[in-house]
Amino acid sequence: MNILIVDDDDAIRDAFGDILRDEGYAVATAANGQEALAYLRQTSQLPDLILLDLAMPVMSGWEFRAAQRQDPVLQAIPVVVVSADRGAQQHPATIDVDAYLPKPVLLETLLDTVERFVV
Amino acid sequence: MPVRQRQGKALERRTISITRTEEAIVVSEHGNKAATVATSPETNKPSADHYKQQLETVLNNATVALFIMDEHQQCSYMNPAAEALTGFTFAEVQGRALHDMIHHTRPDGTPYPLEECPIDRAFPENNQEQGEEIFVHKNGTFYPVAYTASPICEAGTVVGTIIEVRDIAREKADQEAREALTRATRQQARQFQQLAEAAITINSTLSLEATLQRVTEHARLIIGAHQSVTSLTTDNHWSQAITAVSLSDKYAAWREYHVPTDGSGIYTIVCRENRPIRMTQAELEAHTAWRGFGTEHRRHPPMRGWLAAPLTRPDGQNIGLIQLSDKYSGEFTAQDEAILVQLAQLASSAIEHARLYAEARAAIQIREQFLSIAAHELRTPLTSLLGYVQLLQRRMQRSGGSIDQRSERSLQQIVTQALRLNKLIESLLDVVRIQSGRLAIERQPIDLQHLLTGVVDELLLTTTTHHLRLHAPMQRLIVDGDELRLAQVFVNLIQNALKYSPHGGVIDITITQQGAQACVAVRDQGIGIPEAAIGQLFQRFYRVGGAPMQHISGMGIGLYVVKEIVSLHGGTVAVESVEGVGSTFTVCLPLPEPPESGRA
Repeated sequence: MNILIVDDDDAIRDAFGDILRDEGYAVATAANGQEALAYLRQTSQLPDLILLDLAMPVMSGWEFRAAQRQDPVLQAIPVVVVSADRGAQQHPATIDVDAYLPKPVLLETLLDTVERFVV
Repeated sequence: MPVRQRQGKALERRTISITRTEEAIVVSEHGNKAATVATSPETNKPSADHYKQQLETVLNNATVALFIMDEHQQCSYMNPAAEALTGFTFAEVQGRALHDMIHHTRPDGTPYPLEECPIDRAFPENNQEQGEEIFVHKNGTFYPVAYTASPICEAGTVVGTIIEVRDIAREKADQEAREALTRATRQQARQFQQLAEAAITINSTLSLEATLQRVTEHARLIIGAHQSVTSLTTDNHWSQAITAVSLSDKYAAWREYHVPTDGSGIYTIVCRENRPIRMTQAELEAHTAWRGFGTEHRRHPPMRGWLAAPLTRPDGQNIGLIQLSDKYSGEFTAQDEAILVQLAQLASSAIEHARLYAEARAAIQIREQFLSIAAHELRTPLTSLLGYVQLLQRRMQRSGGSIDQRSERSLQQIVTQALRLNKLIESLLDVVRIQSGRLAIERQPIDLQHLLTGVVDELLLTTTTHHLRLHAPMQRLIVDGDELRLAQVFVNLIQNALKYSPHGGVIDITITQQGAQACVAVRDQGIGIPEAAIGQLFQRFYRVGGAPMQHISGMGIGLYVVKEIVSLHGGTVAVESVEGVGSTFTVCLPLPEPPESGRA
């Protein structure tokens, strides 16, 4: 069970990473959309789920999502947005993701959501 | 234009044969014609000669010009006043048609035919004619007169006409002066009225561009000029001056012209010295530096006379000018200048208002941006903090057995406080959303009893010292509302009730229907609210002062958000409170209108 965490804040990447590893998931991380795309295009083991932050430098979550949906290999991977940006929650259609979690997120909520996609 | 009045048929009158005798006129030392009186020494009674002399005295001294026309419409008599008036001597007009001598041409130079003259109609029509005409003096000048032409009847036959003529040049001049004065007064009154109206329209906008354009147009229309330009400097830099132009149809071709005023030359004096300047066309043309302005310039329309007033800041600093050129008629007057100065002052204060308003708006926008960014930035460390704490909790639970109860409570406190911090951030963001009108209400039918049962159950977990009681009517009350936002309202009110009854007690939550409204009352037995504070309770960031409140924390946001959310639902929130006894907050929400085919 592989999960890719895309977030520019390394403390969040570490915290989420440790939580998920404790639960037995294999975790990869990327600091922005560009890093995430680079990882996805060279990895032999595509993740089962992507946890995506929105406001990031270099390439934002919205830009990453747009690029992912253009890519026939990557477009099937489910995406859960985890963001402090409440605007995306009000207009989830603009980014068209599988779930949305507002930051800060409770551990149980995070694990419940991840479980829905990674069986 | 002659004014004529017809006054019925002439009366049969006593006719007197008059022959002019120069001997009867004695010229006094002062040149006035005085009379000699002949009396009969025997009887001491006036003789026939005496009457004749008296009559001559009257005729010769009358100030009204008198003419007699015979049955051939030829002049048979004129008195000295008539000679003085017309410039002709009696000898020159005797036996001739008077009209051809003194009434032959109209002021516009066209001939005045005898047949059209009303004066000469009195004789053939046997009718008295009265009116006003313009006569021609012997020297060719025109003069206005009032006349009466009366037929002279002898034994039922018209034998001639007596014509009385009075010079009305002075009356006419007086009348014209009066009319001019009335016109000027009316014009002045109209200008002041327009100035008052301008004050209202100029002050009714807070946009700088709109203010300038209105001032410019009002100035041109009130004073009556073909060109009006207002220029406003930005921090004394003419290069970025804002310019508003208003031109009459005469300069329609220049409508699109745009010449940023550079503050040089003619403008410098107005702006540097902060005083109005008024110049006639001659003065403008005579000035070496501004001579070229009178002709059609390549860059701007020609100037014809100039009037300008400075725009100033409240501290007296110049910020530009309003200028007018090419008055509809005549040169700019002192009154025009007074009006333009008034308008410039109006404009100055309107510009200041617009500037302050723009600054205030910018400040609000910056604050909103700041709060949004701050909220986003605060949530990021909170996310990892909460993540790590919960990770620790989980690991401790998993390690089993050796769980230190106090450590677990400490970790739970960190989670609780982190979530509380997150709530505070949410509240601050709610304020920003309300302020910027971005708090959206998504309506759906809400069962108030169901909603409040959930809220009460959740809050019961947070207290051990309070007793929460929910009272609901048998009939379910359904309102159209935003479920999350209404829950927020009742959570806020009940949390306040808990917070402000620090010693515990009963909190009653009562749902009732009151007419077309569903009302929810939250009553506590807490410390209450001082009467003086009740009016400000729902203001943003307002907190009640005083000793009982000192140890109760809060930002003064909750009730403000409650009021705004309830308002967005078209409802009201009211408060009743007695200090030391408790408070009751009542939220009333409109019930959806029942269908037309209701119970009735």
